[in-house]
Parts: sequence; structure tokens; C-alpha cells
Amino acid sequence: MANKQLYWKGEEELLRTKEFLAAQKNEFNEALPLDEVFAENETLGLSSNRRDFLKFFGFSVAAVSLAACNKTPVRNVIPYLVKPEEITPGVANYYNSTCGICSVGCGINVKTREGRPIKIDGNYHSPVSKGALCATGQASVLSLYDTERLAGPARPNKDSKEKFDILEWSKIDAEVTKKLTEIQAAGGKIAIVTPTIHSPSSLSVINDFKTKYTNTVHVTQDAVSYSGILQANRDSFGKQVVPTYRFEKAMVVVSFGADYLGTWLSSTEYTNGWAAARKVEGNNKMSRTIQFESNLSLSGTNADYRFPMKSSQEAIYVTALYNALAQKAGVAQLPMVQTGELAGGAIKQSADALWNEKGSSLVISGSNDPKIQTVINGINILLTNYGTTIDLDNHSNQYKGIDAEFAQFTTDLSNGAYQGVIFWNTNPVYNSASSAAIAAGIKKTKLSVSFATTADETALECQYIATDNHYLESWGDSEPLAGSYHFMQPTITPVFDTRQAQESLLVWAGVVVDKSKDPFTNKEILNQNKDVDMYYLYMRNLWAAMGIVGDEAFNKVLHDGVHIMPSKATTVPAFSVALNSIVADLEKTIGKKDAMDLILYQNISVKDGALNNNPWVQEMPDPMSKVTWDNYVSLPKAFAMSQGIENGDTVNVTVGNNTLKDMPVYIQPGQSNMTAGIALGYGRKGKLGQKGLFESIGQNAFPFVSTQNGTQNLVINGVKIVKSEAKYVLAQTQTHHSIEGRDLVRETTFDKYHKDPTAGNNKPAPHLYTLWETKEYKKEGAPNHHWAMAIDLNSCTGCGSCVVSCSIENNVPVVGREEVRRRREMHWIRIDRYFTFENRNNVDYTKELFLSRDYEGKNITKETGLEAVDKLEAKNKDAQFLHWENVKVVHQPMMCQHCGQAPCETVCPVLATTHSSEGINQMTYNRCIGTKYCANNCPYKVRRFNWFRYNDNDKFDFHFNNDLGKMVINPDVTVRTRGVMEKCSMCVQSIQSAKIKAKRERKQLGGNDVKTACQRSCPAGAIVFGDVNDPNSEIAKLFKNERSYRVLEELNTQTAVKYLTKVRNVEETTA
Amino acid sequence: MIHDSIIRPQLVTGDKTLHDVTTEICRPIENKPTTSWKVGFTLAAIFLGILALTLTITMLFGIGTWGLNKTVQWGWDITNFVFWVGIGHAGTLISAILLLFRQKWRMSINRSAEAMTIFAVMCAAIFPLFHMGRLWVGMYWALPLPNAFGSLWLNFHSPLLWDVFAISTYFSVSLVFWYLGLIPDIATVRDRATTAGRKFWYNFFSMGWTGSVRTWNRYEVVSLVLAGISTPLVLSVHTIVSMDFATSVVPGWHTTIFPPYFVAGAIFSGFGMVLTLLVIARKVMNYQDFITIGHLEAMCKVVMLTGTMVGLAYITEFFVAAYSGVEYEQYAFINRATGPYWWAYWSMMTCNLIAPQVFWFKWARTTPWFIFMLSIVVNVGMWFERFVIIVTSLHREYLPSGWVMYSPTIVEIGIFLGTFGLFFTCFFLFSKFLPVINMSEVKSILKNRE
Amino acid sequence: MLDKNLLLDRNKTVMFGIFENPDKFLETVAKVNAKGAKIIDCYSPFPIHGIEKAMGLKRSLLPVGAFICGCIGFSLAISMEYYMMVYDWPMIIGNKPQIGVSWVPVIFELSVLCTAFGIAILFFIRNRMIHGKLPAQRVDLRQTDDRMVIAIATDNDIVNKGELSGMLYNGGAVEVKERTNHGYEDFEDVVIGQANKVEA
Repeated sequence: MANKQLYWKGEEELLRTKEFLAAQKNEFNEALPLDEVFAENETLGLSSNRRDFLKFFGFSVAAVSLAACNKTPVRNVIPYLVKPEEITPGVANYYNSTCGICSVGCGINVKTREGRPIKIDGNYHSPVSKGALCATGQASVLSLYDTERLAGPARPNKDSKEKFDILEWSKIDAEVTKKLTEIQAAGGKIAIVTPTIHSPSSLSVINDFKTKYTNTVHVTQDAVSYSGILQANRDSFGKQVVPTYRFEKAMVVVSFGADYLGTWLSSTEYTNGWAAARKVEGNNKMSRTIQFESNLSLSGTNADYRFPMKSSQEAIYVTALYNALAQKAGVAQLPMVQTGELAGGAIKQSADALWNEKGSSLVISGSNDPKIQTVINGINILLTNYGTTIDLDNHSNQYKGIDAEFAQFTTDLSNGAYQGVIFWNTNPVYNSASSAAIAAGIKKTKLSVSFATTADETALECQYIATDNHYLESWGDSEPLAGSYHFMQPTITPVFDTRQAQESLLVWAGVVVDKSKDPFTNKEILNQNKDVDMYYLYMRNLWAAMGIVGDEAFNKVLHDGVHIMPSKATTVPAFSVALNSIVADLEKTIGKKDAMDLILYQNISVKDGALNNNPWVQEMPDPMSKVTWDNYVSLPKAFAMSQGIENGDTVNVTVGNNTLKDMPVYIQPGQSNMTAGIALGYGRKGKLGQKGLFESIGQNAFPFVSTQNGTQNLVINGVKIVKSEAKYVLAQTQTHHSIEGRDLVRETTFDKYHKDPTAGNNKPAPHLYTLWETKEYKKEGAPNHHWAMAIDLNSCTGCGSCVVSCSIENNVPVVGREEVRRRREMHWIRIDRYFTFENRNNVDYTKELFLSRDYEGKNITKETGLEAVDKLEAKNKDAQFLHWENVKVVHQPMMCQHCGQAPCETVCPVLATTHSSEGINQMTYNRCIGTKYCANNCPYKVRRFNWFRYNDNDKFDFHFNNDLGKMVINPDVTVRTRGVMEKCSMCVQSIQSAKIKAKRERKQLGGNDVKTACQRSCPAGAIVFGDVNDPNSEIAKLFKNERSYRVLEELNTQTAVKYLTKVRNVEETTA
Repeated sequence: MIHDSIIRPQLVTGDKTLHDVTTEICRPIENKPTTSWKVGFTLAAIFLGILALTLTITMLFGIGTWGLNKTVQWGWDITNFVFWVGIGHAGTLISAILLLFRQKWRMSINRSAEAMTIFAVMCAAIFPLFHMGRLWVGMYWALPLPNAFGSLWLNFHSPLLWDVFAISTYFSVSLVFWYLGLIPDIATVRDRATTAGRKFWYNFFSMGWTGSVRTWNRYEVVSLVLAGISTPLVLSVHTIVSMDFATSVVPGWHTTIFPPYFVAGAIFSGFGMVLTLLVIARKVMNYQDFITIGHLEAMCKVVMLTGTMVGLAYITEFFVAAYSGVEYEQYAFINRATGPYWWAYWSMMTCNLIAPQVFWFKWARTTPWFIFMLSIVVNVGMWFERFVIIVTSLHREYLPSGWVMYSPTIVEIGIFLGTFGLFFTCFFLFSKFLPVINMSEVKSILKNRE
Repeated sequence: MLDKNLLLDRNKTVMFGIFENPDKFLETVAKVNAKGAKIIDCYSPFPIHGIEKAMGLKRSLLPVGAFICGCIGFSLAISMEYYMMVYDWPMIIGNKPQIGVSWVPVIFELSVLCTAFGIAILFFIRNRMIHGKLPAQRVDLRQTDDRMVIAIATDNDIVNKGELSGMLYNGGAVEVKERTNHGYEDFEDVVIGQANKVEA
């Protein structure tokens, strides 16, 4: 493998000294005691005797032992930075830390085995992650072992742009400091470009740097910015912050294109709150969510009402909503030339709903336009939501980037106003619209440094790469939410010769932390005289200043991972904007309704592309389209029909003079008519492309990003989409999208549920005949368990976090685009997604919709509307597909149901799959001969077959087939070989370790003591696992719940997995 | 001793003497191979080569080289397995059941039919073996042997295990039956042998047969007993094969009608294949006098009967599905007829139900070239039947999320064609080195006695 | 086959009648048998129905052997399944009882297997047939082709040789031989006379 040279058996090998090379030629590196033996032999003559025999025997033993010593498996032995209290081989250690992938900064809990981080879950102390974690965050553990990481400080090679010369830290420090001082002397400007930083210590490090180099500016760039909200709040309330949204308190949520369950701001936190507000047990209220959007988003699929909207016209509808509410509140309405109403009286309906829940409702918008956001603020003011569902006092720090500043920086840089530029954890050459300008600007500077961990697009332009640590190797702190501090601690010493960015800055700023003056007693830490200690001490000093004095206190915050200050009392801010004044700006934002919109979005897995090169992220299917390994243009059926475009075709997408050629098409049910969507974050180069390092996955849509009212704008009106010749098959994990009217997902409405808890689930029970009595997993005396799982379809958003979590926990192989195309993905848990098209009010939907589309600013009668419809249908055939934009969606997690009467077990000839005495359907991998009969006989189709040898196979090298990547493998789970069947084991390894733990602690294993990987990762808490034999366990209660049912119960498979009916909070009339 | 034979048409025409029979049937063995034999054999050998190649590929890289996926995990492999096993039924059936029914017309064809059985079962066995993910362990883990798992035995609930026993039993019993039948004829060849090699080998296999009446006496008893047990055996084998599907929960498989329906299908396809072979054989080796139009006609009648039975089963399936009221069952069958694989279903219907009906006409039953064409149609139709049952049931099951399409890869196709290579290679060797027609039995029904 | 009568006993003489017409052969055999002459054996290239009666042979006991073999297979299967599924390592398989109808197919198959092999092997033993054995008592190379042979012991004086050979000739024998044994595989055949073919 290409990265072999990364592992050395010692310095000598690394430096390849003469001695070493010479020694390598010998069989044994060390000299062997040959000479003595033979010398003695000579003196004795050749007559060998007993003593000779003993000597030779001794010699051979020595030789063998020396030979044994010679090959020591240094490869994955990594010493500890701070020696943990106990390291028992085979026992996992857990450390609380903070996720460093995006600036949301979720608190995480890192599982390490023998010093290797192998799994990341949420830290339940953290108010951000609330114990769960998004798919991307979980997958980030693999980038720690990414062979594409730079092995040390580097400099792009002069000759070839793709090569780097690894330098010495001392060398790079000397050169950089020299240049910095020159710039400082010449009074030149230096810029430190970062994404939003809310780490107190990092900020203070930057300040120290500024004090040394006085002309330094700190520029914040967020790849996907929330500048609009920040500026709107600055204008409205004088607070340039993103507020904290309390979804758990919001009884009505109206969102204009904000995917708050998917990628909008702090979605994990919001999902948790959303789920809480939608709990039906024992509540006489349940939140109602209304979504207006163009792309089908996760929030849209989970909304009670989803109204297709043309995002470029969002202003119309936002104002319409404002006016509707203003009317109720008796305030002046906004004078708009265009006002509007969506199909089915959506705006009116939402207005009523909101007004009823005045004070405990929430209106949000995904738009990054400050003006629109200001109107949203106005709406929330009308609804008196501030202080209840919106908290400006305990605000969020997760996004602080102001686009104007970054734009200014860009122009200055390209004008050569900067002599020095430092990129920290940001990649503007890739993820900003003005990448060319920046690339050119960098060349103009005297000094350009990047802290990138891999050779990303920006780093390639810079002079130096002061390679940063992976966040799992770093110290750090952060303040994602005002007053709640998160801590980051290394869970492994740096795998490569890398150094933390803060450390570098301190070194360059010449800051020296005086160790003698440290406020701590723990000399042991100081005695390890490592460089990293400097920032560590720096941070501790800072925290001592903030009141966490002494090891005791500091260890506690490290243990918890968080340090929460008492939250401030919430106040209702004064709204200080005359909305009339911004009407003109609003009007400007409204796009032409007959021109196609392009909505750029982040998808759930790849997000802004930071982890584009991570196989788990790539193979995770998009919750809506089930597409993996590519980004694509999602088109509405009606448009596709009119252009003769079908799935499998490709299009050329043109905005201005930017064009993406041959973009694959996915006809997305639920995509608003006259809109198209493309996911950002693709088109980055990396080994995953399979054809060498520089083949990209998908195409980069950042060049399309435009500016509107001075902020980054992801909604482009007037995109040209032309069918191109090329064909491209997207790798989808699900290709049939209708549920065929089968009783797999049970639904009801809240009103019905309120009257009768069994609503939707009260079908007459099927007559289940069996020839023998069903097994009870109870024996007298022994503490017998019956493991089972319940999945609340009402909480499940379909985000797919469990899919990645399961893959990591159980070493599920990544099979790549080609195999997914062949429908051979290996995920043990999948999320079935079914569409239904709804024909609200049983009206002729196309016409209704057309009316809403064809709004002329005047009240249009049915008649005029109808003839307009006829006109339309005359000129394009696809009118009958207009209603494809109205879609109802259900998500259903599906994994092995662990049937009590399992069809798979009876058909295996060699007993490779049998039932455990604790109710688990278990696979014996090394007994399996691969007849595949079990998979055919599985009604749930959850069994996965190893068609090829996916591990140790260069054809399937997705980063953890190489020596470094293998470190992420979970040692508790067998890596399956070719030709065997595999499937969900209900994380039997966790059950076993929990049993051992209980035994050690001399106590009975409780029904809630075991948590499966999918359960741990679920931000909505939709998955519950436990022992139904324990009457006090949560699962036992859920199994008795009126909503619980079994999928395909009529087959009498007696599954150990139950689902809970989905409850939609919709009016009967429109349901 | 043939007292009933005056009225009936002769089973062997051309007023042969006993000696004529011997000489004519031994001719291919004693003479140099004809060019047509050489050509045919080379062709078959080439396909055998393809089999070797494709199986090697499968073993080297894995079952992934086939077109299977997470939903359709049995495709052409099991289709071909059932197809070949089905063909393998005619032989034993002809020799056993027709023997019990004292159907004398069987005598001139049962030898080749039995040979066909054995070769077909050999071809069939390839598929269940190589469709296993881990053939190298599966080969013996599927047998009740002590093992290092402590020791983990077998699952006698599994139809696949029943298959292991059924197929191996069927194969070995057919082999014994066939060999016993061969012994007297081998002895005949031995006694006519001119070359040392032939002397040695035929003597070796004739086991010192002299044709003593005492031996004949026991011989008759033994073949009667073997026929007696082979009859339920032959029925049981395809019944068990059908249970691979019938005992599952897959809609379209989970049907009680399968055993009789599969057996009928097996006889149908078996006779189809026998016809194909004999029409060629009688021409190439000019055995027209032994394998007369009468024989062909009799077989055509069987084909027509069984074809109609199978067709009836198809229709019954639909009725049962509709009557069951199980939506999944109902969908499975609607999907067969109208789904993406409709073409497979309708070609099955045409070939198996409609086509054989032409045998109502005597001309159709008595025109060799036409019979030949139709026998091919029957084979194709029966292959499609298995494809329809396996693939169209699997590709759309209970959960629509898992619905997929399946298409074979070049490797799968290669293996299928390769098995034909194996089959015909064996058959050509057989026709060269062993008497294709049972001489002793034919002699016993000669009519040239006053 | 009754080798010793035919070959082993010293100084026994055997008379062979060689026929070409099965029907005449059958009649002659019947006559000779009726006369009381000791027919050692007959040889024919194909089974001649009724000849066993004509020779007065008893029915073979092989079916009994076959039945016993079947029973062995049956009990073998049951005991194997019981040992593996119930006694040695019972498992929970789809919540099915260990003992069930699912045992039947294997039981059936094993019974059939044992019956078939059993009777085949018994057949070979009974006939002393073994691979590569030389059929020493072959009288005429064409006895497996188109000739029938009757072998009569003539060392007793039930029927005198002359009368016997006459009988054979009239019966339609194409050739009559007499053999004197000197020991195993060591004998001489004396052709008593060639009849000019009756059919010719």
C-alpha cells in the first residue's frame, strides 16, 4: 500500500541510516553469540559432547528469542499522552470531548480501545448534542486515520503541484517567524482566516498573536453562513447573534426552507427538542410543524403540512404571513406590490395555527437574506415568541461569520493589500464563490500559511502547511452556547508529526507560558516536557483565571466534557426596525416566477464538504433520494417531463458564466415546480475517487453561490438546465418508492390518537396459527433476558445517523458506488422511505396548484384560473405531473427483527443462524457456508451477503483496508470474510460487556443498562433497546404501549422489534 | 414368449435376428468414431472448457461476479439447478415406472434415458455447490460429519439439507440401477472383443457375467425391487426440490401445490430432453429400427399430458392466490404476469401449456423433425418456469423498499452453457463406449420367431 | 453360479446343448427336466421368461435381504437425527420442536439408499460376481450374443448320454458337447456332433 513508509520500526528506519540498512540485510539485527560457541568448539576439537550439545541448544534458543525480539509489532502501538487511570487490554476507555468537524461543536464521548479512538457518540452532559451525534460527526473518527493526512509540516513542491516536501518544525517556525517579523517591520497587514471560533482560549491565542503582529485581522468565513440572521438581529435588537431556538417549547413551527432537522444551524439539538415537543404519551398537546420549501428536506418530510414554495419568491410568502398575523394583531400591514397565497390556503392556515399558539410558536427561515430574516423577527415579535421559544440572552455562538467582512477580505487580498495570510481550518479556495480571486490573492502575499491537516485546495496554494492535529489529538475548549463551555481533550497522541494550530500561533507569536508560575500542583503533567504542553498550560492558565483552579476542578470538567454556567434570565428584546423601510429591499429579492430556481443546499451526510473524503459519509444514503456517492440535480417531475429528462440522464447546469457539465439527474418527488436543487460539498479531490488521488466525487456547486443584500445567497433565480447526451446511473439504496398500500407503516392523526390511543393500530389482530407453543425466554431462578427493541416512528426523522453509527460499531464494510449500484450495500440498519402523493381536498390538484403558481397579484377567479390552466396544459403536456411536488413521506428504520419464529433459522442447513436463549437471532459467521437461503427467506430483507472479500482488498480500499485505517476497526466484532451472511446482531458485544460489567459490580443487569449503537446515536431518541423480561425497563413499557405493533405480524414471526404508530398533527378535513 | 404381440405393432422393426441386434448395437463401440461424433464431441468439449473457466472465475473472485444482489440472492444458479434436476427425472421414471407397468416399448430407450439422468444430475449438482459463498467448507460441512465446532451438527428442518440427501441418494441409486442394466450388455461386448484393451476393460466391468439362468432369475428380481424403490424415490426427489420453495415464506413460493406440480414439470421436461436426444441419436447412429416412430409417439403423448398438468398447476396457483385473500400472494402472481418480467411468464405459458397441445394431431406426434423442434420448445419453457418461480417471486417481496431487478452476468451465462458442454461430453462418451440400447432386453422382445 | 458342479469336481462329465432358437430351447429344457436329468444350469443372452419354471428353480430370497437393508437405513436415519438434533446439541431453530415431521425426508432417503445398495451388493455376493472376474464356465462365446446353452450333469445314470444327446438334437440343438473336468479351469470339451441347422 502507498502509505507503507508511514510506519517505521524506529528512528533508524525512518531516517534510513547506513547502520540500519546494513543491519537489515542480516537475518538478525543484533549480533548473535556465534563466535563464542564456535571458538570454544575449536578448542575442544570437533568431537562434540554433551556440553557442546547444550551450547548449541542454548545458541538456537538465543537465536530464536533474538529473532522473536526482532519483529516487534510497533505499527499500532501509540503511547498515551496523559496516562489514564487504568488501561486493561480488551476494556474500552471513554473520554468526553468536543466534535471539531463543524462549528456547531457538539459534546462527544469517545470510545478508545488500547489507546485507539474507535467510536464517537454524543455526550449527554452537552446541551448541544444532548447525548446524540450526527452522522458526519460520527464518521469523523476515520479521518483521524486518513492516509491522506500530511505526515508533518509541509511545503508544496515547486515542480509538481500535487507533491509536498515534509519539513522540520524548527525549520518552518524559523522561516515563518522571520517572514512575519519582516511583514510586521514593513507594517504589512496579516489576516488569520478561520471559520467561526467560539473557543475562549483560541480567541485569546489569536489576540496574543495580534499583540505581537499588530496589523493582524481575524477574518471569519463560514462555508454556509448565517450572516442573514446575525445582521437581522443586529438591526432588530442590536444583538449580532444567532439566538437559541427552543423547539421543545414550540407548539407550532413554521419554517420557510430552514431544514432544522437536517443541516440548519444546530440540528442535532433541534431534533432533540422537536422530538420532545412531539411526544404524545400523556400530553394533550403535540407540536404542529409546517414547512414551506423547494427542495424536499428532512424537515419537510417530517412536517405535518408541507407546502411547496418557489424559494426565490420567499419574500412574498413571508410578508403574506406577516400581514395575515398583523391583521390579527391589529398592526399595520406591509405595503407589498406582490403578496401571495399558496395552494390550499397555506399561509392563512399557518397564520391561524400560529396565532392560536401565540407565545409558544416559532417561525424560522432558511434564507440568508437579512431583510427576510428581519421580517421573520417581526413575525416572531408579533407572536411574542421571544423569551419563550427564541432566546437571545443565552444565545448561540456557533455561527458568527459576517459575509460582508469576508467579501471585503477577498477583495483586499486580491488587491494585494495583505502581506501575510493564515488559513486555519478553512478552505475558501474550495468553498467560496470567489475561489479564483483568493487563489490569485494568496500568490500576491509574502507569507501564506495553512493549518490544513490534508492537502486541501487552499493549502495547495499556500507556501507553508503547518499541519494541524486532528481534533481527537487536540486540547481545546469552546462555547457553542453562551455560558455552556465544552472541552476538548486528546484521546490519542498525534499519529503523525503534526502540531496543534494554537500551538503554532503561540510559537510564532513568541508567547512563553511560564511553567514555574502555573497554578497547579500536578507536576507529573509538567514533567512530560512535550511541546503540546504549552497550549495545554496556556489553556489551563486561562481557565484558572476563569475560576477553574486546580487539578480537581479541571479534571472534573474534562470528565464531564462540559462546564455549564447558570443561564441568564430571558428577556423580551425591543424590536427597533420600521419594516416599511425594508420593503423595497424585499421586493428586490423576489425572483421571476417563470424562471427556474436553483437552490443550493447541504445534504445530511457530506454537509459543506469538510468530510467529503470519508467513505462512511459518502455511502450513507441521502434520506430523501437514497442516493449515495454523488451529488445530483434534483428536478421536479413536471419540468423533467417537459424537457424529456428521465432518471439516468444528465444535464448541463448554467448560472451566468458558470456551468456544471453532465450533472446526473434525480427526479425528486416533492421538488417544487420550477425549482432545482444541488448539494454543496462535493467535487473535492481524494483517494476515495478510487482512480488515484485526484479524481473527485460529484461536482462542486460553490461557484454558483451568489450575493444578495450583501450576504451569501444560496437561492439562484434563473438557472439554465439543458439535457446533455451523457448518461449516468446514480447509486441508490432504494429504487421503489411507493408502499403499495401495504400495512407496514401505521399512521394516525393526533386528534384520533387523543380520542383513542390505539388509533391507526386497532386493525383486527390476524389469526396466528402455530403448531407449537411460542417460547418464553424465562427460566426459573436464572436471570433470563429477552432483548428487544422498540422504534417510535413518531420520533424518527430518518436522518440516518443510526446507519453510520451501526456501520462503525459493527465494522460494516463500505462497498463503494459500483456495488451500491448493483444493490449490494451492506448497511445492517437501513431507513425505508416511502412517498405518497396527496391530493388535498380532492380537488383537481394540477389546477389548484396552477392557480397558486400563476398568481397575477389580483384575486383570480376559478374561471379565469381554469382557462389559464387549459392554456398551460395546451402548451406543456406535463401539467398532470405538477402535483408531484406535493408529497407525503414516511421513514421506517429497518434492521433484523430478531424473529422469535425466524424463517431464516429453519432453512440454514448448517445451523449458522440460530436463536439465543435471550431472544436474539444470531449469526455464526465462521459456520456460514453462504447458501443465501436465509436471505431469500427473510421477509424483511435485512440480511447482507459478502459478495466479495471486502476487507484487505485493494478493489474495495475505502481507507480502512490499509494499515492505518484498520485502527478504527472495533476489536469486539469479527471482520467478515467473503461468502458469509451478516446482519444486525443487536450489538451483542455491548450486551456481553454490559453483563461483564454487571458481574464485576456484583449486581443484576438492568433492563435499560445496554444501549445499542443506533440507539446511542439517535438525536430524537426514537430507538429504545432493552430487556422486556425486566418489568421496570423502558422497553417493557413500550411493548405494552397502545401504539406498538409488529411489521408483517400476520406472518407470525414473533419479532423482537416493535414499531410505534406515527402520529401526524393534522386537521381531519385535510388529512 | 411374447404372446400378446401378434396384433400390436412391432416394437423393433426390420426383422432382426438376435445376432443382428448384437452387431448393430455394438457397431459404434467396435468401429472407429464417425466424423459427426467427432464434431459433436469437440463442440461439447469446448463448452465444457467454458464451464471450467467460468467456475474458476467464480471461485477466484466470489459470487459477486454473478448478478445477484441483496434481494434476489438466488437467480440463474438455482434456476438451472432445478432445470437440470427436472431433466434428470425422465430416465429413472422411464426405466422404473414403465417397468412396473410392463411397458415394453421402454426397452429400447431406457438405457439412454438413464444415462441422461445421471449426466443431468451431475450438471444440476454443480449449481448448489458453486452457489455457496464458501464452497471449500460447504462441500463437507453440509454432511453429517463431526467437526471442530464442538461438534455442531446439521439442521434437519432445512429443505436444503433434505436436498443434499435426496440428490445424492437419487444419483447413486440411479447409477446402481444403470450399471446393473449394463452388465449383461458389457458381457456381450466382452465376448465379441477383438482388442486387448476392450477385452480387459469390458471383462473388468462385466463382473464375470455368463448369462446363467439362475443369475437372470435373480437379476429380474433385483431390477424389479430397484424399480419398486426408485419410483417413490424419483417422485420424492423433485418433491423435496420443490420444498426448497414451498416451505419458505416467500410469496409465490409458499404454495402447497408445488410437489405434484414440480414432479409433473420434471417428467415433462425430462421427456422433452429424452426426445431431443433420441431424435438426434436415432438419426446419427441410425437406430431407426430400434427407436421407432412408435416410441417417439408414445413419448409425445406423455409430454402432452404432463404439459397440460403443469399448465393446470399454473392456473390453479392463480386461483389459490386470489382465493387466499393474502395481498402479498396476490401481488406476487399479478406481478408475474404483468410485472417487469412478464415476458418470462408468457414465454413459459406458451411453451409449456399451449405448444404441447399440437400433439393432439397424429402428424405432429409422428414427424421427427417437428418433434425435435417442439422438444426444444418444451425445454426452453421449463427453464423459464423455474426462472419465473425463483426470480419474479424474489425481486418483489413483502417490503417494497427492497424491490429490485435482477439480470445475469456473463459468468452466470457461461456456467449455464458450460453445463450443456458437460452433459453432452458425457453423452458422447457414453454413446461411444457403451451400448446405447439395452441389447438383452431388446432381444427378449424380438418378433422374428415363428 | 454353481461353479463346483460345473467345474470343480474331478471326473464329472457335463453335457452341453447349444441352441439358437429360444422357444425350442425352452421346450427342450422343459423336456430334459421332466425326464429327470440333472440340469446344472442354462445360459442365455437375455432373460427367457418361464425357463426358471422349466428348470424347476426356487424363487430368490433377495427381496427379503433388501427389506432388511431398508430397515437398517430407516433406523440409522432416525438414530442419527435424534442424536444430532436432540441428544448431542439441541438448539433453538425458529422455535420449532426438535422432533418433527421435518425428519421424514431424510429418513425416507436413507432407507431407499440402503435398500438399493444393499440389494445390489447382496446380488453380487449371491452370484459371486466381482470386478474383473473371468467367467471360466463360459461354454460358448456366443452365449451372450445369440445362443442358449443347457448344461446337464451326465455322471449319473438317470438318463444315458445317448438318449440325452438325441433329445437335444431333436430339441433343435445346433451343437452338443461333452466336458470332462480334470480340475479347476482344466477340462476338455469333446464335440459329440454338429447338427445341420434345423432352420436352415
